[in-house]
Amino acid sequence: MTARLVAGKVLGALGTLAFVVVFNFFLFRVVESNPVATLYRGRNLTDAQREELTRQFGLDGSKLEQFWRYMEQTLQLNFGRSYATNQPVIDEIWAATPQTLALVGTSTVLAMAIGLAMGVVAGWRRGTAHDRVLTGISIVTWSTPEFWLGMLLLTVFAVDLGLFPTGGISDPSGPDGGLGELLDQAHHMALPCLTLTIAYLGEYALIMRSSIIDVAREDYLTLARAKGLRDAQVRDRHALRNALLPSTTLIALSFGFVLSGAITVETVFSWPGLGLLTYESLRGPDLPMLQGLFLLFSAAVIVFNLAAELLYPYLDPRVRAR
Amino acid sequence: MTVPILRVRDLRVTYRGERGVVPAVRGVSFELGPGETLGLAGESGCGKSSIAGALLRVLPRGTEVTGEVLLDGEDVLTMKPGRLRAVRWSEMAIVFQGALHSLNPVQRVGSQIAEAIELHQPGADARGRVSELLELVGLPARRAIDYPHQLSGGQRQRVLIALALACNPRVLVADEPTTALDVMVQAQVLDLLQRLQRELGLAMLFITHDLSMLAHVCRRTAVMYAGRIVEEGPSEDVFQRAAHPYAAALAAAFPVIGDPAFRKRPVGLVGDPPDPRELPPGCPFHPRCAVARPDCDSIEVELWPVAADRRAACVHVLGGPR
Ligand SMILES: Nc1ncnc2c1ncn2[C@@H]1O[C@H](COP(=O)(O)OP(=O)(O)OP(=O)(O)O)[C@@H](O)[C@H]1O
Ligand SMILES: [Mg+2]
Repeated sequence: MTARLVAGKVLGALGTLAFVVVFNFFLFRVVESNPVATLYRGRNLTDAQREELTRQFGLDGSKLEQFWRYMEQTLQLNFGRSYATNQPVIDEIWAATPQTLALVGTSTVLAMAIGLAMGVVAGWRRGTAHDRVLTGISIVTWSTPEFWLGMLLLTVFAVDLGLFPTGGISDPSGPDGGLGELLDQAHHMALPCLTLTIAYLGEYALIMRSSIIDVAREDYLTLARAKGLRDAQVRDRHALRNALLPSTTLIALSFGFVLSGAITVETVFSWPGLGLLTYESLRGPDLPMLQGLFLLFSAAVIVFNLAAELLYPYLDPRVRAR
Repeated sequence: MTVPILRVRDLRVTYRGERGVVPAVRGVSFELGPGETLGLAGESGCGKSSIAGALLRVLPRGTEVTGEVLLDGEDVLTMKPGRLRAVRWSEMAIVFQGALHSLNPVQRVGSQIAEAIELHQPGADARGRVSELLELVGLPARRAIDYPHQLSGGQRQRVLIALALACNPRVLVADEPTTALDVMVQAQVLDLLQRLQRELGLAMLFITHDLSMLAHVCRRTAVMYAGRIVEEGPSEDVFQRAAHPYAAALAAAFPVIGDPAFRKRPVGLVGDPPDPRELPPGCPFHPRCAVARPDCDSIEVELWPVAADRRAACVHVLGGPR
């Protein structure tokens, strides 16, 4: 791929990001025109207090002035202060990010590995008992609501059997620091991670199954078999990579949703990540926080989409040539 | 004739799939001696490629193949999987129809050739052999690092030929190796195949729908209609003095330009070849046959000697040559 093409794609992504930033401004001004009145409903504020709060929230001046101030601050990653805690939004977001990355990242990688393998086996043996069982599992897990599955696992494994903690990220009375703390956190992460893994893998399996079925008809697989390769060699050396091509974009996009993907599950398990933060901010509503979160979530999708487009040519020589 | 290297007896291929039961090949027998050439001609859908696929058992799963395919006296159709994989490509190789789709689009052509060599001749200098093979088919050795889409149709066809010769097979099946190419390139590829066949002493089954081509390439020719051989004999005779009305019509459809004999003969092939699932009763050719008799819709004649080394399946032949 030429440098010009890369530059074009990067510029395209930046343009999309700029659009999202602008859109965000209007979205939140339309949703809530007077947060001061909403937040302090039922409390008697003096005019001076009201003006001070309005200024603090950056809601004074004309809309145009607000817009320029918003743009300037956003470029400096300053999203204002949370209505709820009065802490800078960016600090709260950074504090919650590692937990979400750990939980959703692990689940996504696991779900992808298991789901893609399931899809390959099911599609390659289309119509067999293997296929029916695997596809059945995929469809069921795909259509199961995450929060319902989470609550089910929580009830059975945490409440009834007592094998896992019911929520949070660590045991307050547990070990502090070192390997002990890490193991404690892993123990807390197990159930939400299992929930998300199950919830995600069906989609990967179904996508992969249909790509493999499409590829299985190709003439070059007949030739590969005629050469004398084993069935598994035909599948792994010739079918797999071609089947992965159409799924690359989808897979990359699913990584883009890693940050925003776990709102319900984090809430069910009180996992202190971005999902729980989003849920709590929605209840406020904590507009600056939501604004920051939405921007981050959109940016993640845009970045991974860009990554997919830049990666694709390395997988498909036909695209590389252009 | 010497002891045949390939002897096919009563071969039947029946597809079973979404389109129902398709009897594509209905009892085909032929023999091929070492270094001999046999042409197989017939309209689209008459079962030529089905025969090619059956010879190496690479037809879609679930396809029923019966009869015998004796390769050096050993029946391919009843071979154990391990033996079958060993025989594929090292004893018999196929230049598949459709050079466009027979190569894996995401693998360099050189490594697709090398894969076969490494599989059947472990320890051999695969890279050196790939260069040798490419030069043998008239391509520069540096083309090995190209991907299929970087080659022209004719070059891809040459790669497929090189690939088929990679493991020094004694039997080569060429399934319409020139169909997708323009006329100039057709002639080049045809010359190449003929030269290689002679130099390497290959036994070759050459499949085409163009009967006139076979007159040049093959000593003997078999003409197929609706899954059966309807005439077989020396190519010259079949082409110029066909005994079966279908073979005659097919020969007339590809006249040799400038030969007055062909101007007088009617190009008597009207209508489409029948759907193998709904063959007309009796002789399947009778609805299109210019010389059909009233009883042709009730009897399907077996191959019958026309001359010492010629056979045809037609009621007119039963009473001696027309
Ligand atoms: N996988 C399949 N499933 C069902 N029917 C098939 C399948 N492959 C081929 N057929 C049918 O079998 C018949 C013979 O097909 P085949 O490909 O052998 O013909 P062909 O003589 O090679 O034709 P062409 O000149 O177009 O290559 C056709 O009617 C075709 O529709
Ligand atoms: Mg064919």
